[in-house]
Amino acid sequence: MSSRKWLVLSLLVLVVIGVACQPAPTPVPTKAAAAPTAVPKPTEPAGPKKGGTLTMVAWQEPEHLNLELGTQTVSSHVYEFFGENLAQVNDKGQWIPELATEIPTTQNGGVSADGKTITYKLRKNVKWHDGSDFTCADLQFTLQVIRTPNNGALDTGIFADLDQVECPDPNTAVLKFKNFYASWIRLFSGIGPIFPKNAGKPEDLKTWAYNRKPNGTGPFKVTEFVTGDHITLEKNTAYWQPDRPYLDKVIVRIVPSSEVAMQLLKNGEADIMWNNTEADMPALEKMTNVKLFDAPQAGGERLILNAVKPGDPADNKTPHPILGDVKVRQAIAFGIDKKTIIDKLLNGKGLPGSSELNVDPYNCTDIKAYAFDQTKAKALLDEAGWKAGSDGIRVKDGNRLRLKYQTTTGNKLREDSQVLIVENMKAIGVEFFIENQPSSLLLGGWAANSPRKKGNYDILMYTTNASIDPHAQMYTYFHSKSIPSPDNQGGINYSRWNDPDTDKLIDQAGSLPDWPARKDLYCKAAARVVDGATHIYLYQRFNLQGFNARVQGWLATPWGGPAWNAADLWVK
Amino acid sequence: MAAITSPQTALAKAAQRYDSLTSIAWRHFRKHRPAMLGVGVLSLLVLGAILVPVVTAYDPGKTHILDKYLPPSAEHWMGTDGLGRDLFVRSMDGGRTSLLVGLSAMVLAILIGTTIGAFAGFYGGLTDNALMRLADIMLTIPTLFLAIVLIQLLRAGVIPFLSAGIAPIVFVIAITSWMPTARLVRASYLSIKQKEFIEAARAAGAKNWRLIIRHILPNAISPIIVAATLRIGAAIITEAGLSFLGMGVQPPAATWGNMLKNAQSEIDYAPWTAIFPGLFIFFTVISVNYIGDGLRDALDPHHVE
Amino acid sequence: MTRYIIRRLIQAIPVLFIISVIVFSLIQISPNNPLSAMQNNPNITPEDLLRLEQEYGLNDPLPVKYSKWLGQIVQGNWGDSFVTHRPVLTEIGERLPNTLYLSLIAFVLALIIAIPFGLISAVRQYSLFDHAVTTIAFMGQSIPIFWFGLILIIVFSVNMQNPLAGTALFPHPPPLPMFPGGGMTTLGESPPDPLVDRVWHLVLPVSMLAVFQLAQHVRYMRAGMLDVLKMDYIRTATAKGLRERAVILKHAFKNAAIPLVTIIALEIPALFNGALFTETIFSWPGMGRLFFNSAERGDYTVLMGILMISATLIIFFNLVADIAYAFLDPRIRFD
Repeated sequence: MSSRKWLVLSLLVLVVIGVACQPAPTPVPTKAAAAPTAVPKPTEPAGPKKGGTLTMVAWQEPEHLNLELGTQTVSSHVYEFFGENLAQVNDKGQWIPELATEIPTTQNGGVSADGKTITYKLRKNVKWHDGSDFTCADLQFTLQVIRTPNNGALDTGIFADLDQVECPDPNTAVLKFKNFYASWIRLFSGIGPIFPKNAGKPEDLKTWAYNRKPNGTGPFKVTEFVTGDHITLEKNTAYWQPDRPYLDKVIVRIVPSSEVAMQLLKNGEADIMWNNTEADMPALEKMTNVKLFDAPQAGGERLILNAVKPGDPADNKTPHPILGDVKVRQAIAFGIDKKTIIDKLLNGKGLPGSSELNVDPYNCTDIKAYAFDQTKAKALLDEAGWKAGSDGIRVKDGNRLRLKYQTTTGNKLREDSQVLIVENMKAIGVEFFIENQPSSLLLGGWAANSPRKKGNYDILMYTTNASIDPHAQMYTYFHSKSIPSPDNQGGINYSRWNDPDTDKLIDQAGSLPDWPARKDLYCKAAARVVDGATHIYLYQRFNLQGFNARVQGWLATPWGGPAWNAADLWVK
Repeated sequence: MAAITSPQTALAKAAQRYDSLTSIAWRHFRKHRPAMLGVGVLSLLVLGAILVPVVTAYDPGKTHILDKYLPPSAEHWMGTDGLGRDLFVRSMDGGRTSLLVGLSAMVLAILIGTTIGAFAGFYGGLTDNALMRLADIMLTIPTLFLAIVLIQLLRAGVIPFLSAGIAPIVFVIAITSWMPTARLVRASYLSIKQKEFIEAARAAGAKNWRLIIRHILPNAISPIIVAATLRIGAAIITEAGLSFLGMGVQPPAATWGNMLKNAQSEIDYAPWTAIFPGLFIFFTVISVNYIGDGLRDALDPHHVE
Repeated sequence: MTRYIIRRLIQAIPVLFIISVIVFSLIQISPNNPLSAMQNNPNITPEDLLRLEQEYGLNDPLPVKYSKWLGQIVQGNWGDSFVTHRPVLTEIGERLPNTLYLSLIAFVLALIIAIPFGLISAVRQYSLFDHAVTTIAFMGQSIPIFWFGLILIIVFSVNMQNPLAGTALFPHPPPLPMFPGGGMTTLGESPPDPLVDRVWHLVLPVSMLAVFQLAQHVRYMRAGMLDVLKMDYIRTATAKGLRERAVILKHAFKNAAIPLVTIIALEIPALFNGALFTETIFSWPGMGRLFFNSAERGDYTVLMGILMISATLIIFFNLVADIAYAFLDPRIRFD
C-alpha cells in the first residue's frame, strides 16, 4: 500500500520522540537520590516526623475560601486544612467529634426525646488563628450570617428548621429546632463553615477579608492567597490537638491541566493531585514514587431514564412512549455489561452499581445489582411488544426502539463507556444515539432550558452521590414532590419517578430520630427505585488518590477530601 | 473606430490573459518542490481518509476491548486505543472528519469573505463603510470568546440544523475567520473595477452581478486561492484547539483534534495514541502551508512580464 | 493629522457601544450563569438557588441587565465579579501583570529573531537558508500548541534532570527537573535566587509561545520584504549600482516593515488577552485563564470588563498603526 512509506516515516518520528521520552540514564531513582542528603543520621525515628512541606495540586482555581458563598469542591478541600466543624465523618463513615467533645445522642442526653433540642459540649481551649477563643457565640454568629438577607449566603434552606442557637455557657451550644429535622447533625458539621464572630458584618459577607485570608481553628492557617497560582498554609502552632500538625507548611498549587498535574506527580513537584480519576490509573500504577489509595464512593455513575413523555415541561403524567414501560427500563438494565466497563475502562477500580445507598453508614446490602443477562433483556423486550425489525433494531406499532443518550462532553471515561453501552444495546435490539452536551447546558437550570429540568431527554448519564445523611438525596431525587415543573423549577427528580410507596418511605424516614430505623426505610425506598429502573446504576466509583510515597498518615475515605485528616499527615 | 476597443475584444483579452496566467502559474508551481511534495502528501492523506475506512477489515468505531492499548505492530500499524480500536483506521476515519471540517470551514469562510469583500469593493460608499465596520467589529471581539459562546449557543439548538456533528464547529470557525479574506477581496475589487475592461463591459450593458462574478472575480482570484489554501490548515488547528477545551467535534465521531485531546492522559503508557494524531495534523497542515506558499509564488503577478 | 486622530477617536465611541451590545447579548443568551455550578449540589436547596438568582438579578430581562451594566460603566464603575465578589478591575489587575510579563518577553524574543531571519530569507529567496527558515516557520504553525506544550513538559520536566541541582545556582538537592513543569516561581523548599528562579520558570512557556509567534512573524517579514524587493524603485536603486546591502537597509526595510507594523499593532491587544493554551499547560495565572473561567461561569461583569478593554485596545492600536504607516511611507496621507 502506498501509505506504507508514510507509516515508516511516522514510525521513525515516533522512535525519535520515544527516545527523547526515555528517562535520562544518569539520575538515580528518586528515593535513593534523596536519601543521602535528607537523612544524615544513620537511624531514622520510627514514628511520624515533624516538619516538611506538602504540595497539593488542584485543577480548579479557588474563587475564594468562604464556603457560605460558593460550592467549589477545591475550596472545601482547602477548608479541611484551615477550618473545622463540630463533628466530622471518619474513613469508616462514623461521626467523630471535632470541635465538640462528643456526638450528641439520646443516650448521652444530647438529643431530646422529641429530637428538637440538640445540645453540644464544645471543646475548651480552642483558639482561632488570630488568638481569640472559640465559643458558642461563634455558632450564633454563623447562624446570624446565614439568616441575613441578600448577603449571598447559600444555606438558608438547610438551616430553615433551626430556630436558634442558645449559649448557656461559652462551651455549651443548644440547637433549638422549630420542626424535627432528620439531618440535624449536618448543621455546623459539613454544611457551610463556622465563622469567627469577628469576621465582619453579616451583611458584608461577600466582601469580607476572611474570604481570601480566612480565620479558622484548623491545623494550618492561610498565609498567602495568590489568585490562580497558589495558596500557602502554615502550621498553626496553637492547635488544640497536642503535637499536631506534623507538617510545617502546605502549598495548594493550581495546575489547570490534569495531564500536566500527572506529570508533576511523576517528577515529584506535586505530593498529592486532587481528583485522580480512573483514567489516571494505568499511569499512576507505573509511577514508582506514587502510592495509590482507593475507597468506594457513595452513589455513583448511573443512567437516568425519563419516565415521562418529553416535550411539555408542565406535563409530568403522560408516560414516555418507550421508557414509560418498566419492562423496557429493566431490559436496558439487564442488557448492560457493567463488568467490562469496570474491568477495562475503570481498570478494576469500581464496583458494579447496585443502588443509591451503597456505603456505610447506609450500605443497603440486601439490594442486588442487575446482572448482565442479555437473554432476560431480550425476553423482557419481547414481552413488552418490541419485535426485531429488518436491521435488528426492535419496532413496535411502527416506532423504532431508538433513544437519545446524553452525557457531559469532554469526559473521556463517559464517552468511552457510552461506546460500549451503545454496543450492548445494539445486541439486544435497542438503538441508543449519542448527543452529548457541555455540563453547563446538560446539567443547567430551568432558565437555561436544561433538558433534565424541562424533561426533554430520553436517557442521561452522570454521577451523583448522597452525602453522609442520605435524606436530601433520597427526597430530591425520588420524591414525587421533587419532580420539576413550571411551578417547581428547582425540583431535581429528573426521571420523574412518581411512586406513592417511595414517597411514604422517604417521608417516614425523615420523621424519625433513630438511625437504624431510618436506614431501613431509606433502603426500602432505594429498592423501589431499583425495581422501577428509572435510575440504572452502572458503577460505584472509587475515591482515588495518588500520593507521593514520602507522604504518610493518610487514610482512604469515601467521605473526605485529600486533607480530611490534615493534622495527621507527615512526610518522610 | 480603431481607437475604441470594443467590449468584446477587451473581454477576450481579459480571458486570454487569465488563461495564460493559469498556465504560467502552473509552470511556476510545478517548480516549487516543497509545494509539490505537499500536494503528494496531502493526496495520500485524502486518499487514505477516503479509502482506508472502506477497504479495511476493521470498523473504525467498533470496539475490541480485549485488544486495548496494543503498541504498533504488523497487525495494528499504529497500535490500538483504550477501547481496542485500530488507531490507523481510526486516524484515517478521523482524518475524514478533520479534512472535512478544514475544507468546509474554508469554503464557508471564503464564501462569506469574498461576498462581503466583493460587495464592499464594488459598490463602495455606504455599503463599503457598513460592511467594513462589520468586519472591524468582528475583528475586535476576541476570536476565542466568540467561538466558545457561539458553539455553546449552537449546541443548545438555537439554529436547529447547526446543532450537532461538525456543523457548529464549521460554522463557528468560518464566522470567526472570514474577515481577512473580505479585506483582501475588497482591495482587489476597488482597484479592478476602475480598469478599462470593466468600463467596457459595463458599456456593453453587463449587469452589476455579472460584473462582480464574471468579470472582476476571475481577476481577483489569486489572493483568494492562496488565502483559501492556508485557511484549511488554520481550520484544522482551530478544531484541535477547540477539542483541547472540550468544545470540538464530539466523540464518538473521531477527529484528529479530539483523538489528540483524549490521548493526552494516555501519553505515559500508550504514547502512540497521542503521537499519531499529532503527526497527522502536523503533516496535513504543513503540506497545506507549503501548497499555499507555492501558489503564492506561482500566482505572483511579477512573474507575468 | 490631529483632526484625523480626533475624528477616529470620536468614531470609536459608537463602535464600542455596538460591540458592548453584541457581546453582552451573546453572554446573556449563552447557557452559563454564575450559579449554574450550584445546580447539582444536593446541599443547596432549590429555594436557595431561586433566592440567589433574584438577589443577583440573573432573571432580569436582557435590556434591564444591560442598562444596569451600562449605567455603572459610564460612572467608571466596572462592577464586581459574581463569583469572587471582588471588583472587576481588581481581578484584571491581578492577572494582567502576569500575562504581560510572559507574553511581552515571548513577543519581543520572537520579533528579535524573526526580523533578521525574515529579511535574510527574502533577500536570499530559495536559498538553503530560506528553505530552512520556511520549514521551521511552517512547523511552528502546524503543531497543535497544547500538544507541543505537554511534550515540552514530558521532555524537560520529567525526563531530564537539572545537572546544576545542589549547586549555588539551584540549591535544591537532586533530583530536580531540568525546567519546572509550570508556575511562575518555586513554591517549595530551597528555591533558587529569585531572578534565576523567574528566568528558569520562563524558559518553557516562553519557548512554547515564541515558537508559535516566531513562525508568523518570519512569514510576514519575508513576504513584506519580497514585495518591496520587486518594486521598481528598489530595482532602480540596485541598477544604479548602490551596494546591495545599502539598498536593503535604507529603502527596502522601511517599507517591508509596514506589514510587520500591522501585525504588531494587531497582536499587542492580543497580548492583553493572554495565551489560554500556554497559561493552561504551564499553570500561569494570566488573563487567558481568567477569561476562560469567567466565560465558563457566566461571570459577565468580568467578561465584559476584559472584552471592552480589549476592544478599546484594538481600536487604539489600529489607529497607532495607521499613524505609523504615515511615518514609514510618506506617500500615505490622511485628510
